[in-house]
Amino acid sequence: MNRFLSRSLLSLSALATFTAAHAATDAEIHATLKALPVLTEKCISCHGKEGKIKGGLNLMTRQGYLDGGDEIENLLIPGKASESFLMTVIKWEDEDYEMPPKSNDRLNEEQIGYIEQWINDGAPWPSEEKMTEIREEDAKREVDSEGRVLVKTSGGEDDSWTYRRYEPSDIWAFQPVVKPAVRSEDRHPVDSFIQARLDEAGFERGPRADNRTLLRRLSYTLTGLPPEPGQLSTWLQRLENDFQNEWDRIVDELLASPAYGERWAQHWLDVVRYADTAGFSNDFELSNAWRYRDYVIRSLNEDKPYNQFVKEQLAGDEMDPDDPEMRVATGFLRMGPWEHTAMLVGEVSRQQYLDDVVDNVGQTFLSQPMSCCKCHDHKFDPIPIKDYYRMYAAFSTTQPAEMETPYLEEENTESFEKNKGHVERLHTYARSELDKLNHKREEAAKAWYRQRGMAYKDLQARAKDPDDEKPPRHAGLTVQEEGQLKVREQDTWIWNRRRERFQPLAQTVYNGGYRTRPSKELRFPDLKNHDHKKAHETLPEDHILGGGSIHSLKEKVTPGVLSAVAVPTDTGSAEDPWALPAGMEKRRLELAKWIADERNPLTTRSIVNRVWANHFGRGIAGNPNNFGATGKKPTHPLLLDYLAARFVEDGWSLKKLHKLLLTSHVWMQDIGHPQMEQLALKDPNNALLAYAQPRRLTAEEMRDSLLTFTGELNPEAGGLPARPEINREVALGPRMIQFSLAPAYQPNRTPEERNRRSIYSYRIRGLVDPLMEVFNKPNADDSCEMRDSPSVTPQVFTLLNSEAITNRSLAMARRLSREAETPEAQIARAFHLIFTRQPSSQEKTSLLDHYEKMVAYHRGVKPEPVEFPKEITRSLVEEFSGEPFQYQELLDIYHDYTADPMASDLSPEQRALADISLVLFNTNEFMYVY
Amino acid sequence: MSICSRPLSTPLSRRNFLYGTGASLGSVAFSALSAADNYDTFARVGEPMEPQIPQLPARAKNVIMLFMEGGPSHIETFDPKPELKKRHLQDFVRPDDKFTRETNSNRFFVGSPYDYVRAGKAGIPMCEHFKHLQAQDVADELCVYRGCQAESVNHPTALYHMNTGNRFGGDPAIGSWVTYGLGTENQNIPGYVVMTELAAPQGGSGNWSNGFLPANYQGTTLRSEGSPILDLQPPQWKSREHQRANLDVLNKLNQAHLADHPEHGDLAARIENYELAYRMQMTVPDLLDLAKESDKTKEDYGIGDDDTDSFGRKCLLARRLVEQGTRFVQIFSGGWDSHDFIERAHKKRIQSVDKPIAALIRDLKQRGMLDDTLVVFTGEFGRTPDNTKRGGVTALGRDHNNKAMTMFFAGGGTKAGHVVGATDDIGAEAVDVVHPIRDVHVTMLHLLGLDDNKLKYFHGGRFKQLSQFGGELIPELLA
Repeated sequence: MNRFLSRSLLSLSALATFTAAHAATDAEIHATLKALPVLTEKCISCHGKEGKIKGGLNLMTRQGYLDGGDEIENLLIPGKASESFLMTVIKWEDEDYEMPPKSNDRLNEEQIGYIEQWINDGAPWPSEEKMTEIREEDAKREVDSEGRVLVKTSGGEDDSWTYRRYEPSDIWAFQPVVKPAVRSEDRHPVDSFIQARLDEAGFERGPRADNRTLLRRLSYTLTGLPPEPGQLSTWLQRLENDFQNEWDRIVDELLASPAYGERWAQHWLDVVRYADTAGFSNDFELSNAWRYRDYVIRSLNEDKPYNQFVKEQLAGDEMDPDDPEMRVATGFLRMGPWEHTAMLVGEVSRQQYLDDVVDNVGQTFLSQPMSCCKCHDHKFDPIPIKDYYRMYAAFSTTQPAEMETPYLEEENTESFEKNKGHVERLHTYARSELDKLNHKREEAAKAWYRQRGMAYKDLQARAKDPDDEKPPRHAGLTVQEEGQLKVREQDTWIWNRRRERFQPLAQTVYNGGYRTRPSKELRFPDLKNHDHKKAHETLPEDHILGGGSIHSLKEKVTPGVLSAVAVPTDTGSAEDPWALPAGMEKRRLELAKWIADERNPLTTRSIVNRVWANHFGRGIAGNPNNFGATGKKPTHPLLLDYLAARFVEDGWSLKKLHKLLLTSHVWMQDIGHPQMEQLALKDPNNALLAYAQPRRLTAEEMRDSLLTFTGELNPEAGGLPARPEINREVALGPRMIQFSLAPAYQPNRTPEERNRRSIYSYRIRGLVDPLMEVFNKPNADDSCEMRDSPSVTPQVFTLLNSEAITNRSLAMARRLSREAETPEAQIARAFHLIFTRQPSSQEKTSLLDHYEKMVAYHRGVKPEPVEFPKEITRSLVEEFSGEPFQYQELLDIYHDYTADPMASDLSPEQRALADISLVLFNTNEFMYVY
Repeated sequence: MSICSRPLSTPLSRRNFLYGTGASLGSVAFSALSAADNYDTFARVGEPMEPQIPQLPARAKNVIMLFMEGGPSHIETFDPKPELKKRHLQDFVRPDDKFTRETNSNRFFVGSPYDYVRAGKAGIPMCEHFKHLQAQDVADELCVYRGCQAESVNHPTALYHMNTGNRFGGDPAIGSWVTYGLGTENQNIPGYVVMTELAAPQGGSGNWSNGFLPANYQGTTLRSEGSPILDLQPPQWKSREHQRANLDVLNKLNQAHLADHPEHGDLAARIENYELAYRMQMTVPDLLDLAKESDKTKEDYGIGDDDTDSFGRKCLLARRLVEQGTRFVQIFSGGWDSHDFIERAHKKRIQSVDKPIAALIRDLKQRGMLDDTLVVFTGEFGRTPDNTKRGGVTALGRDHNNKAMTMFFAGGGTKAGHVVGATDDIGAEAVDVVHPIRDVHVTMLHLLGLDDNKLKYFHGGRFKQLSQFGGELIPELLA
């Protein structure tokens, strides 16, 4: 029943007209509702709150204003704003006194007006009771004279926050979704909303792009791959015959391709920050994190309803603990960078984990960054700090772990055997090097004991002996060997850990009490151990953390959801419609159900906006991760709501949503428009969507396309991360981890293993593939709502000079010389494969001419074969001695490596073809999608 | 975000630059747009790396930041603690265990194994092993600061904090903010350069990442071996003339494509980038060629001597880069994490940087560049006055301390020949002129004429800044 009650919280129903509380004057009302909240928000954090009195100024009371501070007089002269220094400082008229000092916090004109009026009113400061009375009276009307509304929440840290009013446009995302009527039924519904704004602005709709352009655009947006040339000509013919019906069918065909899931999973992984390692000091491997990656791809390909997708990622383990797929799905809760080592305080690391989860859940599903209300009530959005910690509490029984989870039949485990050898070889190598050093030290230790006539004790046995009763720590070892010992110990551990790659583990979570555990091994507690069992069964107590500090426990809280969203939880009560279960179990499940509730306006708007953004290059709301007051407002709010409502009607089907968008005229528009000049003036940012935006290929699209052109792409789906060739200086470059250097990056042994789609590449937080990075693959630490794509010079070096791209050009040359006989035909073939068109006669002439010149050049040059290092000498500064030491690292992969094509294996003619290919790879025609 | 606005035509007002051309005008245009809604937000003008007029009177134009990675001990460098010598090996008890794990087991005080000298007119206390920094003409330039407090006691988070203002990484590095705010003077070389020691520090490239700023402002790592910039040169079997020929054909194809797509503003910018890259293949190696420096200079920097060669080369390169117009240079020195055997370990580290830094300061001064160049020496945190047994052995060292640390400044408008701030008598925490890292950042920006409160960038729905939420100037550090 309170469902209905809550639902009306935001509705703008008719209300009793406001009458001033008895004896409350207009001046007092103004002070309470307008002026004093501004002063509270802007001043007291430095002048009065929690004993902080900067410049001797305490602004908690009226008297404080009258008293002034060090060297400050006449701060407030009641009745005389023009003579009050307060006005000078808030207007920033005196260079030495600009308050508040941060320009972010500076008062706007309206707020300055409030203060001015307040002073001129005589600076009234009503009693607490009177203020409460005024606020309560005010709260009886939902809309004030300036059109601003109240939002009912669970309550802020003080009343002025709780009763503050919002511009309706700032809280648009919290309002219920109401499906708007489609203006003109004869049009595609999406176009109907677009056209409405164009009509208003006096612009006609732009032309449709030509079919070839459209098909390339469609292929990239749905699969991240270029259209196959043969397929393209069939499609063109079909469209020629019956555009309407055939377009629909082609969209369906592409949506049914497995490449669709691989493409759209990448968008999701950007948001959730997928990586195969955990970052920070050690960058520990998240063994089998790939299972979550493949779960996302599978879910998208089977068009799992989005509400189900949401619930599984947040609480799959609670929905069906026996289904391995569900455990893998909750890998979502393990995607953030996180580590806990002995150097850290357990509770601090624990908080870091929970803060990260809460913030990412907010951004991912609700388009609401939560970290903004971790230390205080949200400055702009209706989210009190209490709601932050209620959501935090929803996860306080969630413990990260690697859990035994049987492999599913659909999971790709085929490459295990091939990869085991590499891991075993490096483990054996590290182990034997370590044994040698240990042996040497223990021999010295034995001698030490012998000399003193004492019985030998091994390392463990002597650990607690006093210094003078045991041999020195590094007995028998040189400074070099001291350093090596530490490295070999780490390597032995690291490679042993990597054996987990072949065990049926999943990165997931379980419910239970908290116990400090280093993150190098996160397992379900051993319940036979009394201490572990006790910790496991202890229900955590949740508090608001003052200023976000675990050392400042404030009010206790129970698990709950965001109260500003007028949707109650299934477990809520009349007093607390937002409550989640407070026991050990089902906190997340109930949270997930609330997020996936069809009435939750943040959730449905969030996902349809993300899908839109990835098809159009920009969200309807411009910050897909932030629907708050500071995020960009929707350009077409009605359209957004239409899509959100329709999405639910369509059973939360993402594929149906794609189809709806991709069959609209607005998506098919050309990049040009007949009224471009006027548009440039009136709508420079194309907010009206009068024409299409070209976009540069993403890093993954670019690499996957090149592999497609050369015929090298191995379309195998899923499984252990692939290790493509990356720039070898980076791959072998030393990288600090705790106590040691991280092992070198070694690619897979064969081209088939290396040349997989980029989404399958091993994602190491501490080591990015420069090819991907330079083309703006985002870092894996921050949620990325949209890719950026500026043109920067290092991209040129990469595309022109790097071994990776050079090798693609060589592979392309081989393919061309295999598939066509004459240079002319080879060039035509290259155009066909890359641009799906024939070269113009001009292009043909110029490239043939270039080809001849290049052949002549290459006849005079002898490329040297690429040499792969079989081991590498490392150098590191040893912390014990401050001196550098060296050690050898084994690069076992290169001992039986199948290299990519090398220039030295190609004829001068083929190398000239490689030049042509490289040039085509670098063209704007290839790099942009229109 | 840059995707949102499409400039209809990108006027290539001038030649384009290293790290970018108008293709990222989207971001620039957008940040300018948003700035209009939020008064006093810095709005940069022109091309991404175009020099900007600072908002405040600037004392410094460039920065050379010397980063001692691992947590150099303040007690063994610039903050003598005779009291610790008195208490050497006495039991140590820490009052609380809320902030660090390093409180368990038997802990004991550790006195510094080093003696101190007093250097320069101001008598700045300095560890005996700083043989070169203690020379009066160098010491008189230093402003030693003892009041900074970090927050994190873990290397990567503390490194991220000092480098980016955000402990958890992902945000732009200070060098990125500075190049964003000031642009760079020479468009043919990188504006923000990073040189690491033997290994990249913990946290890797996140320490010099552009974060949410456009990619133009990312730190460029210059390598002392191999290619100074990744893939700067083509493979061995391609000559410069050969590459020119390829570029000419590419240009023809791109021009034809541009003619077909006049609406698309990014195209011209991308074409121009190829020409810029081609020029850089010449200018960068030239810049890094130390053969042009005299033997005397190389000797001064310690080049050729095993102990100092690596850091000395980087310091000399830093001077060359700044001289040529690079805005921000950052040099890492590793191996300062002396939990054990601090006596030999710190001595070695000090010796490896002492001579090169002294040479750098002197060289900058002689060339009249020190006034304009802010030299910063820092680590990510300091070290504890106490130690524990590790592996059951008493191996004197110190653990991580986020409450006290050491740094010094030289040039760039800092107060020469001064010691600012103080730690308590055992060096456990800063007690005078105490400031968090963000205030050091605010002060560095201030010296460069940048106001942290205005140098903001709209990202993810809100304005962000280096100090995260604003900070305070440390006036004591200013000349």
